[in-house]
Amino acid sequence: MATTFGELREAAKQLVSQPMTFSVDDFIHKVEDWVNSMPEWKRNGYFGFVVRIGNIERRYLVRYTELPKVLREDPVFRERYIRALAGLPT
Amino acid sequence: MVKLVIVAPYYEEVTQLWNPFLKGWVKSELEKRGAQVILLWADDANKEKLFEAVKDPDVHGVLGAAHGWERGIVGQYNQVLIQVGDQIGPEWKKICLNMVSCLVAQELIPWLVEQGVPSAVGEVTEYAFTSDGSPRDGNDPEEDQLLKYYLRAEYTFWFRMAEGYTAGQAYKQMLEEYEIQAREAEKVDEETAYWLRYDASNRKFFGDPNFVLPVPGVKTQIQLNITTIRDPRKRKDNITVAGKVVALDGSVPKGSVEIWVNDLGTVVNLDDQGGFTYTFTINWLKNEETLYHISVNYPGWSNNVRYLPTYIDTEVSVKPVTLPTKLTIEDIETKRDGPLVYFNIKGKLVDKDGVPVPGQKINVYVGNGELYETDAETNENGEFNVSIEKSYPVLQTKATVVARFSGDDVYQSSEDIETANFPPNWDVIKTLLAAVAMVATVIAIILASL
Repeated sequence: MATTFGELREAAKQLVSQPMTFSVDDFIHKVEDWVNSMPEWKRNGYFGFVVRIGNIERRYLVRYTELPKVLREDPVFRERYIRALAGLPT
Repeated sequence: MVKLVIVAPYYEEVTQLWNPFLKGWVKSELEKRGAQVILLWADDANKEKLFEAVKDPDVHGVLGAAHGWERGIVGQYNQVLIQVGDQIGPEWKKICLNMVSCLVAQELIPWLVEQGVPSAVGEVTEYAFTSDGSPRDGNDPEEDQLLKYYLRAEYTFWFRMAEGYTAGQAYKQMLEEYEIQAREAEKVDEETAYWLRYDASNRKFFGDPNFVLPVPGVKTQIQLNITTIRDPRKRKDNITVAGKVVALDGSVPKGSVEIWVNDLGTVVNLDDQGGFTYTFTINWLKNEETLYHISVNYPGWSNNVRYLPTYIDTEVSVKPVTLPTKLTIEDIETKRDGPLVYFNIKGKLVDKDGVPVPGQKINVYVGNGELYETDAETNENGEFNVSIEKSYPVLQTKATVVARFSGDDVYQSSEDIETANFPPNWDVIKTLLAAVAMVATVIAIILASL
């Protein structure tokens, strides 16, 4: 069963509110499921989410196919992405 | 002549996706509305050019899309465009600023307003968006099947400003458009709808909501009078939106208004006094307090005279209305067959005005120590008819009959109590009497024989 965006949001909420019951790896697996279930036209598209903290610029335009990798490798982006998905201030 | 500055750096993936639409579609739409655009494209998107451009006395707005952080915005190749602590000269005191930039509403935008920028809008958090990544020349939002929703919503602000709306009105219409676009996007992509709502909820207005670009024409205002009537019987609200568009020069504006109550909208032509009225009928399922968002948009009118547009919105709350009821037991027929008593009970439920209340469950109890319950339902005339059978002691000839309506979200509860009369159990009495007579006869015979 493919992961929906709504389920991804629920996973983000769970990760933020009950981090002991849900791991980052579980979350990233859900992202992978979600991306794999996207229609091709969207999977080849982008998610834009620009992060800049002080003078350290972190600018992101992530191709959906790359999103799981970016989430795995960049903890700053991951934290802000998960909080935004959970509907919390980043 | 109103001039607007578009800041559009073009040097990496994000600006290359978004900013062609500033150079093409947005610029063209602003020009259609009579504004002159100063485009700071690519290498021109720098601090020197921006600060020079705003010195032009006809420049009254700065828009664009550029990377931001809490305290500033960067232009081409990440050179700082404007940041907290810059020298903000008097030429900025005629500028409205609204750029798509992350985080700037945290410090930069409120600081600019403190420095005298009359009105500004900015994002508190990161601005998130989705894009299908297809090649674009930027002349039509349709070129990107996902980004188009953001573009349409976002630039509502500047299109309305160029038409002559106040900054506060343009801001509200932009937020409304974000919601409209989110609903459209929902049909295609749930994620895009989420980020549209996320972006809108993090967009904040600072400064004077009455700031307006000096667009030539007669300023107008809307006077609004809203009446609401809840009809609990038909489970609907009648909301009458009436009012008048007033020109500030005393003349009578022409044209029409768009009236919206939540998602219901209509267009009403102004009468010869500039007035309008329309009644919306809105059905509801549950009788609870309901909040309606009402907006009236006068898009302006132009012939020999140009009447500028205006907009007003408000919320009204309609409180629940419940109706007292009267339940009457109208007739009780009884018939006894041995120990069993058959009751046929008829009654009627009406509201405070005597109007029948159909389709309601009536509980009928026939008392005698323990209660017997049955259900009946009122017909279209508010009438109910229920049959009950119950056994009673031989000599009992009365029973209490209670009919009770528990009420619902519209109708209040009510009940009626009557006494039912029925004969004793003559079969048993006769048998007993016969037995007694027989015993008496036997006793008499015995006594006579002694």
